[in-house]
Amino acid sequence: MNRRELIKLLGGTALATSLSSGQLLALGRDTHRQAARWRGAGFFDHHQMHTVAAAGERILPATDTPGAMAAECHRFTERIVADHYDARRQRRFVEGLVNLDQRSAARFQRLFVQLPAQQQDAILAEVESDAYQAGSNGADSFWRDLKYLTLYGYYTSEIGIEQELRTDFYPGRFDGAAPLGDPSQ
Amino acid sequence: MNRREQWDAIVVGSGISGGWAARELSQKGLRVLVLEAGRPIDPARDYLMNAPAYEFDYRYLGDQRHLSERQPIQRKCYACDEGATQFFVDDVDNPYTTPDGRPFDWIRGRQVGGKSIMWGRQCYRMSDLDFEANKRDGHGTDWPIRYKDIAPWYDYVESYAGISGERLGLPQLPDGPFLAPMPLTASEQWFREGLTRAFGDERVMTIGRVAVLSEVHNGRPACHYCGACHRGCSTGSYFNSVQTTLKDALATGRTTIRPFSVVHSLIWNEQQGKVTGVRVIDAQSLAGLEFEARIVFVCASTLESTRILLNSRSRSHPEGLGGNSGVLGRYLMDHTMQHGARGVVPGFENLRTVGNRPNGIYLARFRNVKDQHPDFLRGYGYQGGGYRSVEGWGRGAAMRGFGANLKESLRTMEYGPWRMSLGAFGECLPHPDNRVTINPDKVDRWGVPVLHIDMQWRENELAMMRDAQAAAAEMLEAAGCTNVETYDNKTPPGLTIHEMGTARMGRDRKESVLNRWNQVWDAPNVFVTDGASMASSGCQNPSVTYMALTARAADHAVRLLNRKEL
Repeated sequence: MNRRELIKLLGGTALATSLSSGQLLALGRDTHRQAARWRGAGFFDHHQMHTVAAAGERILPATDTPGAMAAECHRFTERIVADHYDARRQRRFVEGLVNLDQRSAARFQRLFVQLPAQQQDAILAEVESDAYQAGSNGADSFWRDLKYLTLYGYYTSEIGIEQELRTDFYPGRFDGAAPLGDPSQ
Repeated sequence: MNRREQWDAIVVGSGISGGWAARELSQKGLRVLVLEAGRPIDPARDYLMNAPAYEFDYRYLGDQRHLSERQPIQRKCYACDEGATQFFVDDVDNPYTTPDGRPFDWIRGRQVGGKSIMWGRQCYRMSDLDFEANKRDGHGTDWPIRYKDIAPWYDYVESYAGISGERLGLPQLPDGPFLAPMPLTASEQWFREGLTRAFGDERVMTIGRVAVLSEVHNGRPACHYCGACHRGCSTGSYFNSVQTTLKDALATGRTTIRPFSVVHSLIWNEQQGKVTGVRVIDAQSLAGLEFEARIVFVCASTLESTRILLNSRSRSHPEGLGGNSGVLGRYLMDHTMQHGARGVVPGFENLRTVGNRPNGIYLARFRNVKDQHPDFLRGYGYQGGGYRSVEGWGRGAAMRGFGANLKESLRTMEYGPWRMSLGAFGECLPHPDNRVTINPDKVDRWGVPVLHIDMQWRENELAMMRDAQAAAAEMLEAAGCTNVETYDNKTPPGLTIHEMGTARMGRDRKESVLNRWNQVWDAPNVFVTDGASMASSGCQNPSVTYMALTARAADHAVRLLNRKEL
């Protein structure tokens, strides 16, 4: 990633103009190094993929079970955005990712992926709050798309199904009136 | 150059009906060729059951682009999900036409096993209330058979297939040799008790009668309740021709299944005055082939069978084989569906369901059984069920917040109230203008002229649908449900996938295509035994009737062959 790309990525925010060229270079090198890890099917570029993965991990973090990043939710998200979304919704999603960086730059002078978890949470909380303020309970928004795809990708992944939910696919019986609290059920 | 092969019997199609024809004919000693338009199926490779979502690219959301481009009609079927979409035809390769403003959703499966892989598995016998219906009210032509003619064949096919259900002794819904019934849920049991309190013996609800094994049967294991039968079952615990009838047919050593064999038409030999074989287009090479046989069983599914007959034009049969009757292609029927009522069931907060039951409830027909309803003829039954609404992780996207707390909270299910729903399946009167014809301007990918399907729900069906919604609401309320609401999805014909008729049986060769043994009047060595042969539709899910008609016709065919009468 060169300086021009980085500035474009940051969307001409205050950050882009306030950083020295040395800082920008360091930022770019770091981003570039990360890039190889975030190679997807080709709809997202490496930085977008990394951003989706980082945001997903804050939505469903690793706890006593692995989180969204380990479950590769970003790959599922990319597939659905690329193949199921119409052009308008795709654009909104990509702009939403740019906006994460713009907010991160404005508040913390870094790209979203470079922020510590706590600051990433602060940015996402801001995005969520704005989505809800825009109406429709946040339903028609970049935030809802990101969150829905992260959840869907996680709970349908091998990690989500087998470690988090421990779904039993082949129960071997049907009981139409089983006690609710019985853990052996 | 055409290649010619000589067989005792050719069976066109390998689904519910074709499987039975192949099994019965080969077990009785005939050398049988089964022609299947689609690909071969290997259950070990192709049956996916309840495969976890991560095995699929779109995690059961489906490949929407493919669906909208290649399967815009098939995708309307609930079973055409990401684990079963490969069992439904490509709508671009398999076109048909309908008049403007009169849609017909034609759902098809082209593979060994046909639609028996993803069918709904509900099995209800027809009774004399149905077999006498046309004669009684004058719609359609009188069935040439009565319940006593088919009853032993229902026994025969049900004993083999394995139908779980409850014996009720209802004359309008005859019992069979059922396997143990599957359990009702808490709200279904509650509704059943309330229904009996309010309506006595007049309205009866029972667990669905379903071709899924509730116990080990004929060497096939019992259901494991994963709930995804339509994707194919690795243990063979529901009836599908691949794991039952076709397997038996192959075991005789006298049956050959030829996949990728698109039947174009039947060959009428003018000199001999009979059908001598079938014309086939190899689906892969597009080569034209001919196969000869002493008898032909046409079991290609209702409308494909009639399409083959219509495309079998000759000097003696300018309107297609069976066309001299004037009724070939007419009297198309389907059941009305997706209208009824639902409500909330109070109580049972400490209970839930465990497992995925591949079955629901059935509420037997009660209209026009004893008294005549003023608004419509015939009747309807209900299918449905009672479940507790439950929300898992799916609720998370609409909740505010994210992070470890969200993840933790989504580990527990959120249980809502129990519910009960009733969806009617209504009988369709046979009407001459509900019909299919060959569209002379269009062919499918293999060059076979396609169907033009002209069908609509008419006055009687619409009146019945209104009554079915009101009656469902009345019963739910009588049982004590709250928040009762009626619904009508305005589903066009076709989507119920109970299409029937268009080559009906009858007593008079001028009024029907087939005689009482499913033989084409004008070509007695040709048998049509699938849904095309139906003279009326009843309101019962029809597949088990096709099974019985096919086994009965095969038995008769072999008897005629042995007596040298064919």
